[in-house]
Amino acid sequence: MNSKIIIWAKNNLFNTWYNAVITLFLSYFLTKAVRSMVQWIFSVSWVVIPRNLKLILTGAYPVDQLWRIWFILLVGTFLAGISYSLLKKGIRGTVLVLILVPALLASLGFSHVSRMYLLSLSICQVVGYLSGKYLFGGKAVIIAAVGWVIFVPFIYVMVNGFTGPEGFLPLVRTNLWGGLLLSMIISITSIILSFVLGLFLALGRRSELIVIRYFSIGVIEIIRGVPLITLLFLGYLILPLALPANITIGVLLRAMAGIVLFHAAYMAENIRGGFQGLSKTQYEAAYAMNFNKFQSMVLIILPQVIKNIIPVLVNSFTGMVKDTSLISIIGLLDLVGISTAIAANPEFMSDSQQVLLFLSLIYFILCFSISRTSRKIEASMNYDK
Amino acid sequence: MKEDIIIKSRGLQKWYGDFHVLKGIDIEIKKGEVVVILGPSGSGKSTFIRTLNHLEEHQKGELFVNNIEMNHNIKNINKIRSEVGMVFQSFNLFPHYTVLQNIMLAPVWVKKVSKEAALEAAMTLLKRVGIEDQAHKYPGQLSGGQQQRVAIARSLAMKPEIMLFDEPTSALDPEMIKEVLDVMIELAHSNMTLLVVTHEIAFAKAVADRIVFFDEGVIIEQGTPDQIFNNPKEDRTKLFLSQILDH
Ligand SMILES: Nc1ncnc2c1ncn2[C@@H]1O[C@H](COP(=O)(O)OP(=O)(O)OP(=O)(O)O)[C@@H](O)[C@H]1O
Ligand SMILES: [Mg+2]
Repeated sequence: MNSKIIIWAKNNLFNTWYNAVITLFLSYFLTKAVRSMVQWIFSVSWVVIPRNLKLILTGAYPVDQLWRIWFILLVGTFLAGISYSLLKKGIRGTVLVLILVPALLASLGFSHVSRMYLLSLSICQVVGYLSGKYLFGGKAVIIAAVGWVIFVPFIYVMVNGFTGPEGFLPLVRTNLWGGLLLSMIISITSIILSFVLGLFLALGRRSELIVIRYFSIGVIEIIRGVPLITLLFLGYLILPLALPANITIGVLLRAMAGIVLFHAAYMAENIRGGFQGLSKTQYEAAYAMNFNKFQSMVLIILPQVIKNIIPVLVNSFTGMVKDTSLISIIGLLDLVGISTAIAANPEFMSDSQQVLLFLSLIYFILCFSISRTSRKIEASMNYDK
Repeated sequence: MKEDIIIKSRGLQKWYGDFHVLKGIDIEIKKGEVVVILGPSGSGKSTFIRTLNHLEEHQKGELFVNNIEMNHNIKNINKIRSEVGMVFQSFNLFPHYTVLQNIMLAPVWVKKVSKEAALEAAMTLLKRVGIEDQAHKYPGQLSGGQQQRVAIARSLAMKPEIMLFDEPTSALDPEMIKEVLDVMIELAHSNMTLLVVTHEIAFAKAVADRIVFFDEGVIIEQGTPDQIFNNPKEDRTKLFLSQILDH
């Protein structure tokens, strides 16, 4: 074992004199950096995180309505559980971590209620897995697919509510949404909507109808020539002016419009690249078999195009998650907006580094899980092996 | 048009931009006839058979397939395509579907056949081309010869009257050519109309009712295999045959 490490180091780190120098140089700086980091972590007070955890996670969302967020998570973990049962290799690695993490978190010093909820998140995954495997049988695929499709609108209905203050799901205005909750909602929406819109733009760009083609090209090129931040401000300032006076739309919607449009343009270009990478002969085979254009597209072309561009898509998706942080500039209290708000609180004025580090950790976990999941999906779509 | 003529073209012309590919093709093909098309590279063989299912559009002349005129009318095109199967040089299977799904897809979605019926038909076809044991694999997991046999089965699943083959064995390793030709020979004896672009002279001699020799976008000469291979009249035919028979 030991000698293996030595041999590996010899081959990879010290194989030439200049590699040896680089290795030594880098390890010196790495040790120094890590040491001062660790020292700093232990020297500061972290109480700012638990004290503001509710704020970081959900912003000003009413405390007596938090069960709704938990309920969404429970449904989500149940769906995740069903999806695990579809994995060819069974429960391993990442999935195991996903199941265990909530249970481990439950052992930390949270309130009783939160610990019950956290534990339930683990249990729901297991229950979902078991019912997917033994209860639903062959129907598990359909149940999971339909479930995930319904899940997104379900999130909105739950978070937003629709009854009066006395009803069972009272309306919660969007200015109370905040923190991770808001960031997630914006991320999920922009990923889905910009993908759909981007797909239509990409198809429009390939259309035989000149009007549609030039319209799509125009939209794509104009949006790609503008920075996201300008689009956000445009949505924020101009959209209300452009609409009739009796229609008002919330800041959140205006911000979302900007983000979705912006990413749709890039998505369209990604998808177009995918179309160009697919051999013309697939269309010919489809047409020769008398599939109409719509069937050829949906059954034969698109699945291959999307499969081929998964790595690019994932890149964009993680980019989108991080770009949501820009909305704090127009005053929305997403993760970054909340952290600024916390730093403005005199009590925690000197603790903003801790909050920022914690935020980075959250963003990292989000983006890392996206790329892990996508790699799983990509591997499961590999038909050649 | 006589009853048993299934393909008829008159003065068929096509250009790619300025390039005149088909310079007036006149041909009548009878139901059940096996026609092998020969000719040098670039002579327009592929272009011609691709006009027969509207993968390419002709610009002049007229073309009837199964008594339906080939024109801009999408209904006509669809009717013709439902009568015509095509097998490509590079197989062109759908890589994201299994062998079985490749075969069932068009019957289920285009002909609206029930899944059960499509499955049964697909398994019968797979047996016919001798690869029923590969039904659940993906095309990428098969050899070239197996893929081409799946492609043939996929076309047959639509129960076409006419099958077009564009150099079906050119992309195959020599040891796999026979397994594909065997399937085609069986088809040739089954009373289906076949148009085959190929350089497989032995196949042409064995099953063709007629050999058509193309050069530079026109039909130079046509006749029975015996006439073409043993008594070619045109110099260009002789030259071409001497070149490929030398190989
Ligand atoms: N899409 C196209 N655009 C422009 N020129 C084309 C196109 N397709 C084919 N051609 C040209 O038309 C001519 C005839 O092509 P075709 O593929 O019909 O020949 P072929 O007889 O099948 O030859 P081969 O034996 O090489 O397959 C060739 O010179 C080719 O370069
Ligand atoms: Mg050709």
